[in-house]
Amino acid sequence: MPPPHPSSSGTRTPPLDDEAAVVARAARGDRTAFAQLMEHYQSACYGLAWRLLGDADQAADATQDAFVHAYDAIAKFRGGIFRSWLLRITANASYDLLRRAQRRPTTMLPDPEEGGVELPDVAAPNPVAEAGRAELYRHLDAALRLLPEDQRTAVVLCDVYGMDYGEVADATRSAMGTVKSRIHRGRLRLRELMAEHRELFES
Amino acid sequence: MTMQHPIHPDDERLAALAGGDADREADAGLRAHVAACERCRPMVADLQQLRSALAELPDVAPSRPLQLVPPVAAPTPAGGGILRRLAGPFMAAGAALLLVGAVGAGASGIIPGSGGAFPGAAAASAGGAEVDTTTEGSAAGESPAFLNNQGSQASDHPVPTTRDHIASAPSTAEESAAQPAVSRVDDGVPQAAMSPWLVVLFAGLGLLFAGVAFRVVARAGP
Repeated sequence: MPPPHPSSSGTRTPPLDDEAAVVARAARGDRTAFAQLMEHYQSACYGLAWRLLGDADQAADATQDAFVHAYDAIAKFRGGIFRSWLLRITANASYDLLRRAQRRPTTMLPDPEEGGVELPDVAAPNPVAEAGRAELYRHLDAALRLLPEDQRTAVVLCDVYGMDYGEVADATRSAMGTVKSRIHRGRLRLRELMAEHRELFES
Repeated sequence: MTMQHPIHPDDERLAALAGGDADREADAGLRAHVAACERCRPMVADLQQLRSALAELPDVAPSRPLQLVPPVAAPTPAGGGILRRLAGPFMAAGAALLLVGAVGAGASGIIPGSGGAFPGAAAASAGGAEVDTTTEGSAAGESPAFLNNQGSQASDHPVPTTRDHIASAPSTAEESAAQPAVSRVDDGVPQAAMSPWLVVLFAGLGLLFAGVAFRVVARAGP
C-alpha cells in the first residue's frame, strides 16, 4: 500500500490570493516569496512529475530540479498563469530525467493490479460523496500507467494538465503530428482500459 | 431515428474530436457524421467524459520534503561546467604544442642531447617537416612553383642532400611570397632562427598547466 498523500484531497491547488504580488516579489529576488510559491505548488508539480515518471523518488528529483530551474528563470517571468509556467518547467525537468534515465524506453509501467505499484492515496474528506470520484481517479492513474510511455507523456501533458498540442510538442521535443497521434491513440487506449469502470464516471 | 453509415471515420479522428484539436472540431462533415452515427456518437461522448475526468486528476503530495529554494551560495552550474569542459581541450592542445615544440626545438639543436646542429636523422626529420609545411601552406595551386624550384635547385646541386632540401623549402616560400617562418631557415642561422619552437614549447606548457588548473578548480569548486 502506498504511503498516504495528505494534501491530495481530490482537488487541484488554486492560485494564491495575492499571487501576482508574491510572484513579483519572487521575481525581484525575494527568496521568502519564492519559497512560498514553491510550497504552494509543490503538490501540483510533484503530481505532474509522478504521472510522467511513474516513480516517487524520480518524481521528487524532477520536482526539485524544476524548483532550481524556476529559481534561475523567475526574474524573466513575464506574466501569464504562474501555475502553467511552473508546470511547463516541471514537465521539461521530468522529460529530461526520463530521457536521461532511459529506464523503460517505450515500454509500459507495471500493471498496478499485479501489486508492487505505488499509487497516490487520494484521501476523501467526505467518504460517501467523494469515494466514487476518488475511486475513478485511482483507476484513471492506474490506466495511465498502462499506456506506452510516449502516449502517457502526451496524454498527461495535454489532457491532465491542459497543455495545447504545441506546448506538448515543445516539452517532448516532438513534431506536432507525432504529438497529436500519440494523444489520440492514448485516449482510445484509455477508453478501452476504463471500459470496465464506466459506472465510476457517473459518480 | 438515426442514419447508419457504412464507413466510419478513423478512430483517431474521433479521439481528436474529444477536444483540443481545433481542426477536427471545425470539421463539419465529421461532426455531422458523429451526430448521426450510433457507433461514433457514444464513442466520442465516452472520450469527452474521459477527457474531463483526466482534467480533474488531483495534485499529489511529494513523497519526501523538497528544498523550496536553492542554497544562496549555490555555485552556478555554468561556471564549474565551463572550466570542466575547457580543461580537456586545453590539456590536449597544450600537450600537442609541447610535443611539436619539443620535436622542433630538438631537431634544430636548441635542446641539448638531441644530436647537435644538423646531424643526419634530426636534420632529415626537420627537412621533411619543412618541406611538408611548405607544401601544405602553399596549397595545391602553388605546387608548380615548388616543382620549378626543385628544377632550378637540381641545376645548382646535381646531387641534392638533406641540407639542400632544407634550403630549398625557403626559396620556394620566397617565390610564393609566403611562409616567413620557413624563410628563417634560409638565413643560415638555425640556432637563433629556431627560437619560435621554444615559444611553441612554452605555450604548450602553459596551456597544459592551465588545463590541469581548470580541472583542479572545477573539481574543488562544487
